[in-house]
Amino acid sequence: MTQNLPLAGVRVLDFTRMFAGPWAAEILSDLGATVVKVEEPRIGDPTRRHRPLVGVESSYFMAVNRGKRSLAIDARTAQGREALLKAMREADVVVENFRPGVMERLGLDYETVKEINPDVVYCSLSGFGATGPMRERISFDIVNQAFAGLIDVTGHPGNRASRIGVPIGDLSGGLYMSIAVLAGLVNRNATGLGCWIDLGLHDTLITLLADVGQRHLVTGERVSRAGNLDHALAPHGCFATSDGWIVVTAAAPDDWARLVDALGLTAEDVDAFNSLEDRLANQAALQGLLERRFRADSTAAWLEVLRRHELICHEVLDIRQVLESSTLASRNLVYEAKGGDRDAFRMLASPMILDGTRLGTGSVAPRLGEHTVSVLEELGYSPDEVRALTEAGAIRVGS
Amino acid sequence: MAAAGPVRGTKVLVLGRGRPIDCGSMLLADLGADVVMVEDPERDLSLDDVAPTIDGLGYQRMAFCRNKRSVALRATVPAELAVIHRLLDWADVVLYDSANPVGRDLAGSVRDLATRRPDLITCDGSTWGSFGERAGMAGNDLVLQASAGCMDLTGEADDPPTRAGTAIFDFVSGTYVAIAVLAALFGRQQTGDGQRIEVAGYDTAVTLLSNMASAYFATGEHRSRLGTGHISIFPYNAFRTSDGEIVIAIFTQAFWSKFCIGIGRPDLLENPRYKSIPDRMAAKDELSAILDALFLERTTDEWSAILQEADVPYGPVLPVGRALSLDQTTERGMTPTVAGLSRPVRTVGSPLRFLLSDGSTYRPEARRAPHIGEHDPASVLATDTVASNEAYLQASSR
Repeated sequence: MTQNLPLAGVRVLDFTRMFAGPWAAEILSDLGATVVKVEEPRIGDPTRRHRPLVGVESSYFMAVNRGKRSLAIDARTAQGREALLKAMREADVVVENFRPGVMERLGLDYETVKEINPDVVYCSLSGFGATGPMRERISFDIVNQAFAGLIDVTGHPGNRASRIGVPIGDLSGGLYMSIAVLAGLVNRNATGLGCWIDLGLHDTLITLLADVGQRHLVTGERVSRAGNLDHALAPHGCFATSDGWIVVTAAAPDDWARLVDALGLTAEDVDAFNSLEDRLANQAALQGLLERRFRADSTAAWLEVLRRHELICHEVLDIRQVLESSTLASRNLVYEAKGGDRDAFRMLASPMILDGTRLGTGSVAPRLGEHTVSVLEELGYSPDEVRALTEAGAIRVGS
Repeated sequence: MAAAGPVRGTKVLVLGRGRPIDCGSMLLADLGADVVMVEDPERDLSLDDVAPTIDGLGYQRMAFCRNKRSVALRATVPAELAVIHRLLDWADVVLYDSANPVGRDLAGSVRDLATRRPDLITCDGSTWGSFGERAGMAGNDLVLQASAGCMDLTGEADDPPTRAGTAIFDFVSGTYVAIAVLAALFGRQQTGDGQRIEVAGYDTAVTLLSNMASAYFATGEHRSRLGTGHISIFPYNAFRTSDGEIVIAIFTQAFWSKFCIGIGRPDLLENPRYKSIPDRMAAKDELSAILDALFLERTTDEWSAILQEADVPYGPVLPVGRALSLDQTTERGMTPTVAGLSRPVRTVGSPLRFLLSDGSTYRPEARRAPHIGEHDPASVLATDTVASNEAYLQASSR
């Protein structure tokens, strides 16, 4: 199986911690790369301590470190650094997400590694990138969302702004990190050259502004949150029913005509809303009209009617409803993870399907230092040398 | 010295429109691929025309179609379908959405071609995927926000479910399209073989629940929306100031100590009721009232200076215009001026910048989006027709 995956044989040395970087390295692992996660030996990746637990391990850590090997090693010791440089020499890819300057202080930055491994693909991801006036700032998902304008555009006018409910600040950084590494690998095959990519989470979040940002850049108008209304489509939003919430889109002419039919509205009711321009210009009135209709019946009843009219619609689901839904079950996205002496537990696999096979269903996250010995042995360390490193406190050997 | 893009020369054909394939192919175009969109002006009803426009290009088209070419061809007209088939032979990578009309018509051709050309990379980027209970149904970002839990998680607790303010799921599914295609291109360089890829927007959207999903699987418990708040940390949210809003993320004891001293309230630090993170969660309502009142006393800029000095994680809630004009944003080149328009207009650029080991650099440019049918299929086919024919002949003789 692994042999057929596109990144089979690619060696990734992964210095990332927390969420964004590990997410990227997990994607590379799902695609077939061999990922060695470098962790400091005392507690390892800080998310190993996050609750809730699955068995005795962090469910958070398990979610973003599937399929990796754990090398627990102290980069601040001379022996640790020496071993890491050996690993760097063998690596195709190095990824890290420390604040700018940290890898340099450890003597493991791109310029140093390039001396011993010129064609390495090395990607750094930090809150604001390695250049610019904010490069030293502390970064956190909510902070980055605020600085990138995403909180201001999310929520209801007149009420407080909201952060987007999924950690998109970290996720976007992780996704771009995967793209950067893969592009670097393709480029290396074509040219023989290695590269360094300096990614800033802030920059990756700014790209999410895409159309909203473009609207502002074309007109200079202030763009802010519009609740469940949309700047370009109407109707296109969320409506309360008698027992829940649904979303509906019916902006195209045919869709609008079918919605009018589905809701049993008269020509007189919709006189002011016949074109998309009219609907956008009179959104508040349109919203009011639709809200009154939707409140008159249940979510299930409306979904049945709307689907019969081939309209794009869905119930608003909470996490439990999503994860227990028959829709999700029908996609084979949830799998039973098994590894070592652990009881099987449920996890989400990768969204990518290659040649009919869903990726990311095969493995679990490593225990701290679980692969320290095997990784060091592959680098040429003898059992005696491994023992000496352990006694010197430079490494931790896990179970 | 400027280098060529990492995937230079890769020929990407996009059949019809759809946000995930629009986004995914834009990422590939940014990296140097030659991306050609096959558009049917009658059936690809899109947001392209919604105002504001410049030079006849709507802002949505500008945001998702830069650096690409466009040919106008209808799969429903035999002569034009024949040209589409020639373009399929030309392509290294074919992107389509099997649930939109153009993609649905051509999905069979793409599958046939893939069996004849093992080097071909294809990717279906539909909302619901090719199997499962909603296969073939239409969808969009809003439906994904509702069906994958994000809307329930977004907004104040007493708000209705709330959309993210931008089309994040279109973007995320597009990045996964690009990731899978790039991995397949790498694999093809190694082995010569292509891939048939499926990236359903729904799968990518659910995957974003990541650690929240594993927490639910571990405990059977889940949460709903909390505004800007956090399930187990306080203060970690937005506060209103006298002229705006500011977020703080006080997620360690050290930050709590620096925060209390920095804002001039060492008494909060001394107060045993607010000692640990669990204490502060338990006393959230009363502590919230104190901080709400305090933050209203100064402007966002004044608080920013104080919190910067205190060295705690904070961020002013910037409107889009200020986020885009921030020195950090512009100095990193994130708002390049679009090439090819009648007046200078900036766009939201790519965060990718490559420093190659020979000292050269690569940074995506931003050439304006093409008008529908701006490019002639013959000129597209003339780009490297010989090599493509050879590849085709080689592939079909295997």
